Amino acid sequence: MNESNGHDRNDHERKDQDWQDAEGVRRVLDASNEQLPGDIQARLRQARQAAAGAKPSSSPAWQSKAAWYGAAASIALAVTIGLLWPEDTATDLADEEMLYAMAELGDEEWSVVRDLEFVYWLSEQPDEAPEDAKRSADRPG
Amino acid sequence: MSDQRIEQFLASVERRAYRMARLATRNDADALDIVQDAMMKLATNYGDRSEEEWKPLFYRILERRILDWHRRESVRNRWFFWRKGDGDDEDQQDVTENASDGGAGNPYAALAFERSGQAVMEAIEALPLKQQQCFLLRCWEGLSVQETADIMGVNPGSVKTHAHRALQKLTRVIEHHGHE
Repeated sequence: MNESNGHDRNDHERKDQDWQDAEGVRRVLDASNEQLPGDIQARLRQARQAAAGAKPSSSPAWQSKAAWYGAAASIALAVTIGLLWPEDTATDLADEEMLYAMAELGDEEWSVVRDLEFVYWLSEQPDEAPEDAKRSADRPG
Repeated sequence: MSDQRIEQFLASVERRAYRMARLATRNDADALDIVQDAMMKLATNYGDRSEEEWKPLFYRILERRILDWHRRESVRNRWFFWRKGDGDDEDQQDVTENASDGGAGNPYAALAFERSGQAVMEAIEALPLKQQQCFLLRCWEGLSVQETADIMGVNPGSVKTHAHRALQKLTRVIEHHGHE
């Protein structure tokens, strides 16, 4: 019982200490926000006003259906690319993150998929253009 | 009236949102784009929701946008690794500039920046993304463990662990610089 109280007290003390430590960091962060440059503040104000003036979107049923088809196609494409990805390529993304990335692909992430398609296509291209390759083959010596 | 309310809400979170995105991307333009996207999405998709829902929804969108940015950067860095470092000097300079004029007009802020502000900001930037976001949402924005977990799509235990580890690292920086 006493031991349990001791644990609780230690937990509380640690939590208090944590919040005290966090307070110093919070003050630094708050201070940095008080000093935002004027152009950043102006851009934020513009973005806020544009968002506040935007009309809520109401998507009709066919659009929502199309979005689902689009999302399904994106996921299928991402999985295909994932399977074809060279295994010996050094990767910064953890497996979990890659899975997370693919699971989240939606209609708006088409540009990412297109990027991936492009870099995959690029990696498949020969180093020389066909005509250059022909010229170097014809070149004597 | 609804426009006014959402504008007031966005005004109340825009600076922190920008700072979070800036710390995650180390780039002003990308951070502004992320915040702008998040604001627009909240207004167009969730503007009709109750005001109490806006804050967690906004940070959830922001968090997704930051993750998307990191994914794109990972792909870009993997394929264009030889260009890596082009923007680093600029970013570094920007951090220094922000820190050096950080306390003008505010004696307390000036003191904080003078002592360890720049080191703390750099330490936050250097944190792993999940630790950084957990710490900022939990300890700076003041969201609960559960709210932070919902926003980040992780379990509450992970939030506590990430936030605690981040705080340990930042505390070491503060102690090293004799702050507090």
